[in-house]
Amino acid sequence: MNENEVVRLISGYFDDTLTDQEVAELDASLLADSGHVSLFARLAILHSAIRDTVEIERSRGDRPAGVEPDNADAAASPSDPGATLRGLATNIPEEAADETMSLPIQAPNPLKKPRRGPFGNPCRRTALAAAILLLSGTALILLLHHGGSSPEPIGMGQSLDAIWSDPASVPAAGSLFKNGVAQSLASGYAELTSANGLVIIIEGPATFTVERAGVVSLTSGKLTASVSKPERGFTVNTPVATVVDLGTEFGVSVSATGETDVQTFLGTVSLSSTVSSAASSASLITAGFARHVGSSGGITEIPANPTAFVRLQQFDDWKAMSHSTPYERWAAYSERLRSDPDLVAYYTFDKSDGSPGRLLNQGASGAALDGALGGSGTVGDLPKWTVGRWPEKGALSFAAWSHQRIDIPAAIGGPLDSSRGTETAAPFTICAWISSEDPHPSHTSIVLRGAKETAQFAVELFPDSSVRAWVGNAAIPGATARIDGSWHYLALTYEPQRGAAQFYLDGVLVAATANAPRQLPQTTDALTLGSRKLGRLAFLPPMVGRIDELSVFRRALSAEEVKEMYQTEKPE
Amino acid sequence: MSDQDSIEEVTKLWTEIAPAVAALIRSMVGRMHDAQDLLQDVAVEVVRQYPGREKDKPVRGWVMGIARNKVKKYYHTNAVRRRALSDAAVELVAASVGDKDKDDYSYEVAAALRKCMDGLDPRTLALLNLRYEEDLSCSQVAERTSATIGAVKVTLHRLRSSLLRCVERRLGSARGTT
Repeated sequence: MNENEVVRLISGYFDDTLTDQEVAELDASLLADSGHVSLFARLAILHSAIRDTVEIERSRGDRPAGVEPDNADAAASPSDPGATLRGLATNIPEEAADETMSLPIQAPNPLKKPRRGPFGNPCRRTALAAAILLLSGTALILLLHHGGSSPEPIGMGQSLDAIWSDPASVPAAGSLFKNGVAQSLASGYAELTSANGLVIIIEGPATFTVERAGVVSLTSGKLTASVSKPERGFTVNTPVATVVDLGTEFGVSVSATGETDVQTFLGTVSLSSTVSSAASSASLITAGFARHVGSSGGITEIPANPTAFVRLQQFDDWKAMSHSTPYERWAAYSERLRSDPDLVAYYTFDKSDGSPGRLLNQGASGAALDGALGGSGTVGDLPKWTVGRWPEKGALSFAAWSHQRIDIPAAIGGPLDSSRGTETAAPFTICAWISSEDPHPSHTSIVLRGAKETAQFAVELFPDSSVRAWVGNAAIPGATARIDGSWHYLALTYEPQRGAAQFYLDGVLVAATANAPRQLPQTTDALTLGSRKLGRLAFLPPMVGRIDELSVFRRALSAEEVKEMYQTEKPE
Repeated sequence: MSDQDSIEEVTKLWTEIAPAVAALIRSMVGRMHDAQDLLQDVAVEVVRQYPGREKDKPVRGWVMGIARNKVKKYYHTNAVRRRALSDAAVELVAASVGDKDKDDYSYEVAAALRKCMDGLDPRTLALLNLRYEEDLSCSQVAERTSATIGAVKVTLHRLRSSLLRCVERRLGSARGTT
């Protein structure tokens, strides 16, 4: 049996597609030829590595690398039979150039979320934790350095948008940290490295201390660590736990009260509680799992959430983008934004050639929250696709004295609905980039949901070019904020528990209240862009200008987050 | 030996051998999620049995033996499971995958694979995503892609073959042939 035939059988065995006869042939070949056994082993290692690599790629984003939504939609179109696999396998050259091979295949709909998570059977996970505890009544303090090599001192790498509370105490890039000195990163990201290949990314706000080579204390905030072989045994101390790397990539998050979450992306870490009274004090965490250490020191299992941490590859991408054009910077930030678990809906206003009448939602809710371009009923009266903040980016323009608008479905209880009946409403943030020419013929809305007695919120534009925001039927008091024909960033945040609402223009707070309504009226009205609804069915003439981005979050963004978003997304 | 010494040893052992155990189980079990569960089962058994194991026997072989037995049990208790290799063949594969010389090979394959996969086009990556991440069978992939199951099987076979060549060329081509 030649090697290609053996590879075919092994591959079929991996996929469980062999016939009884083929399994028998493979079995005989393995028993007869040690070379075939070695080939099976190498393919098995490759097969396992593919699984890990695909999982890593998925954790970096929700779609396979390189598959853009528009392309994927086009590929999935039944009218594009050339994009399918049918009959094409025979066209793949057996000796195709490996690193540039292109296998035609239909891409899945990237907006469809994968089903079950990769985290296995919870009973088994609990059993593993229990097994570890059988062996350890004390904290795990493991310092395992591969091959006996020592960790190297930790220095400053590259930082991104980092704002330090005490910049004078922070070493310059390439310089070493002074051991034992607490550092406070107010916002942004800082990369810490060692000569042996240890890479740590600190995400602000965070307070940490480089204790010595191979040991960092994290008092609050988040870090991600990628540990090379020589640095194995790298340790993160938190107020309630010690995390020891066993050759891996992992994330640690510490709350303001010191409670600690640990998640392993690759390999294994040991986690031990440093609170001696804890009943469960130690655990091993393998890839894809996460644990929480409470203030009492008890360790409990929690669902893993890879998107909660910045991954190394992601950070490298951002670093590359930091030297790029404003559009490239925005594109990188836009990708990062999509991994925010609180992002409900996200519209980049790029035209879909296959669906020019729809505004595609790039957020996790997918096509269910696609917007519909609306007008008086004739195609010519729909908002027009045009150029956005940069030539590479799209936008929709609205013209006066028409009925142009965009409607996004927002059912009661749906992801875009913040009302909760008689209960306190849910928080939200709405951000938009707009450009509006002066003068404006009439008072209208940039974004709103509901009208009059069912009004939930609105950002409105007046003939004098001023913009104001409402929550419920109450305007948020503040200074008069005006826009001009250039691009402007608007953000409305709402925290019903505190009765707080803030309105930002270009990252600056221009209006705020602590007396916002804590309940919002229920409405079946759509979320409407560009036009102001008047009563049940009628609309006022739309704004004159363009909208080229809209994002909706299910939390109130902080002032720092709003500022970061503006700074990262601004046209220049 | 104290409990702490024991846990230090077993964690170090598991860190070193987990890639080999994962490779064995994933190659023997078609469904990725079943493989993940089996991997967890093996980890549990290794930790539980470690203090009482027969210490005069090679520890790596002992771990791979646990993995092998889990696979066999899986074969016997899953009626929907494939036609299986003989115990003798599984043992040969387990010994080869678990060979200590393969530890560095596994690390290096993972690194080289990223480079090789960088050259794949989005549609090929989408195929890998369907099979490896969404855990679809070949027939399900065929259904999703409007292809024949034969085309899916051949494509995966050629893709793995090409990736192995690419990876081993990057590693110096002669690795892992013993």
